[in-house]
Amino acid sequence: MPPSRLQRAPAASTLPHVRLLPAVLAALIALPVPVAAAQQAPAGPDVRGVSVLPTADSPYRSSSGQYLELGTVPAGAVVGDQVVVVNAGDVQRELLLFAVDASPAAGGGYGYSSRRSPQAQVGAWTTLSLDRVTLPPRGRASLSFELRVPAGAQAGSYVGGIVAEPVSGQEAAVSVTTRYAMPVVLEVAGAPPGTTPGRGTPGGRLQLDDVELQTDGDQLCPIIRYRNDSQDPVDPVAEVHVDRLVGSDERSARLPAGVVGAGEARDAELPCVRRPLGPATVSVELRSPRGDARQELRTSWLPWPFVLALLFLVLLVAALLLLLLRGLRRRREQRAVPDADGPGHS
Amino acid sequence: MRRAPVLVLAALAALAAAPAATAATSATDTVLTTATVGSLDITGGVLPTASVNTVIGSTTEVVGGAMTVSDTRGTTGGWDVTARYVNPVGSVTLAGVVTPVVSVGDDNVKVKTAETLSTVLTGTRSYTAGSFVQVDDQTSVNVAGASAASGGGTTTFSTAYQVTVPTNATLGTVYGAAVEYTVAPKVP
Repeated sequence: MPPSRLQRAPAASTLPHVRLLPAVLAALIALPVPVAAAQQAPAGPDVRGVSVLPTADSPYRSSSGQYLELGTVPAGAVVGDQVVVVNAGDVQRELLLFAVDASPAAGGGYGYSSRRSPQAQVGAWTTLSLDRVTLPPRGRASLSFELRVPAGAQAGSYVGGIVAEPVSGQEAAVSVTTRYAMPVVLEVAGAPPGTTPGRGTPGGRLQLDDVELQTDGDQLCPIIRYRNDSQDPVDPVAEVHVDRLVGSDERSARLPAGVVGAGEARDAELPCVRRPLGPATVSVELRSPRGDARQELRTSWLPWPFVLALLFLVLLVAALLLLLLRGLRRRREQRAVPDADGPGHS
Repeated sequence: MRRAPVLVLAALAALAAAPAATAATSATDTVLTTATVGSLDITGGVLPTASVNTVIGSTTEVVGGAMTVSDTRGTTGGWDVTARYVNPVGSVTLAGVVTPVVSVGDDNVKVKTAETLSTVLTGTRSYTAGSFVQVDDQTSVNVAGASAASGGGTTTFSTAYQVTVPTNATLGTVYGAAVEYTVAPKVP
C-alpha cells in the first residue's frame, strides 16, 4: 500500500531527540495544576453537573419539558421568555451563559458550536440577561432571553442552544470542557418542510468540487475539495485509482476522507499513489450514504532520467544499426574484391 | 545529522476564564434556593494532561477519565453527548516563561466514541471504548447517546482523544488542542 502523507514521518527510534527531552520535561513540571482536576468525575453516581431548563409555566416548553420550542416565528419578530439554570452538584459553580448555533452531529444528535466561534443564526439572534452566574450547591437561577429573528432571515427550521459552561478559573493547561446545552428550536415560515438554511438542502447530495494532484518525487498525492449538500453530516470513503499506459494499474486503500457537516465544504489529502510513468488517468471516488462523487484527471509524466535513458537507448540503437550497416557494407566490399581481381589476374 | 524538533503538546481546555463575548450584562447571581427538579447534566471528562512528544507525525493518545451523564428527569427524552474540536487559546508558562500555544489543527485531533450501553435504566452504566473519529471546529461528533427509553439514571463512559504532532511542526514550539463535550436533550 502506498504511504499516505502522514505516514511519511520518520520513525521515533530514528530521531536523535533524547538529549533535549529532560529540558522539556522539566518545563512541563512547572505547569500549574489545572483546576479541572478538582472537577473530574470521581466514581459514584452522586457527582452532578449543571443544566438549563425552560420554566415550568413557559409557553415554549417542549413536551418533554427539556428544551424550548418557539414554534413558527415571523422574520423580524422578537420572542422572549425565562429559563432556569440549575446546579445539581454539591459544590458551588461559576458558569458562563451564552447562546450558540447548532447543526446535526456526525453519528446523531445536534452539535453546539463553541463560545468562541462566530454565530450566524440562533446564537447570533439571542441575547441573555446574564452571561455569568455563580450557583451554590443545589442552587438555581433564572435568566431571561430574547430572540430577535432578523427581518431578512431565510425561511426554514433552526436549532440553537442556550449553554451553561463551568468556569475553570485558571489559565493552566487542561484538556477538556464539559458543558450543557438546552436546545432552542424554531421555524421561520415560508420554506419547504425540512429545509435548514445554510445547512444543505433536503434532497442534497455529496459533491466532489475539485481534485488537485500534487507531486512529491515519484508520488502523486491527490488533494480534494468536497461539499455536502445534504442536511446530515457525512463521512465519505475515498479511493484513488490509477489507470496506467505503462505498468499495472493501482488502487489505493479506501479511507475515510473526514466528516463534513451539512451544507459545508472540506479539503482533504488522500493517500499518495505511485506516480504513473507516461500518460495515465487518475480517478478519485467518494462514496457516502448521501451519494457518490467521482472525478478523473489525465496526467503525463516523463522524468528527465527517463527521457535521458530513452535518448541513450535511441542513440545506442542507432549506433548499433550504424555498426551493423558498416559491417554489412565491408563484407559486401570484401566479397566484391575477389570478383574484381577475376581469373585473368591470377 | 539533522536535529529532531522537540515539541510540547499541551492540551488546553477552552478559555474558561475569559469573559463571554455577548452583549449581556455581566453579573454574579448567587441564589439560595435549592434545586429540586430532576435534571440532565454532565461532569468529568478527560483528565488534565500535558505530554511531551518529540517526533513529527507521531500520535499521542490522551487517555481520559470517566465522564458521567446524570439523567434524573424521570420522563427522559433521551440525550446526546457530542464532541467538538476547539482551538487552544492563550499561552502556557514553561519554566517561568510565558509561551504562546499554537493549535495543532483539527486535522490532527480525533476523539474516541463510546459504544455498547451495558446495563439497565438506573444505577451506574458504562460504555466500552469505541473508535477514534476525526473532529473539527465546525462539525461535532456524537460520542455517546441514549434513547428516550434508556437514558435515565447515571451513565458513565470513558473518554480519550488522539493528538498527532503536525507534519509541519517546528522546533521548540508549544502546540495545544482542546475538545468540548456537550450534553443536550435529544431534539426530534
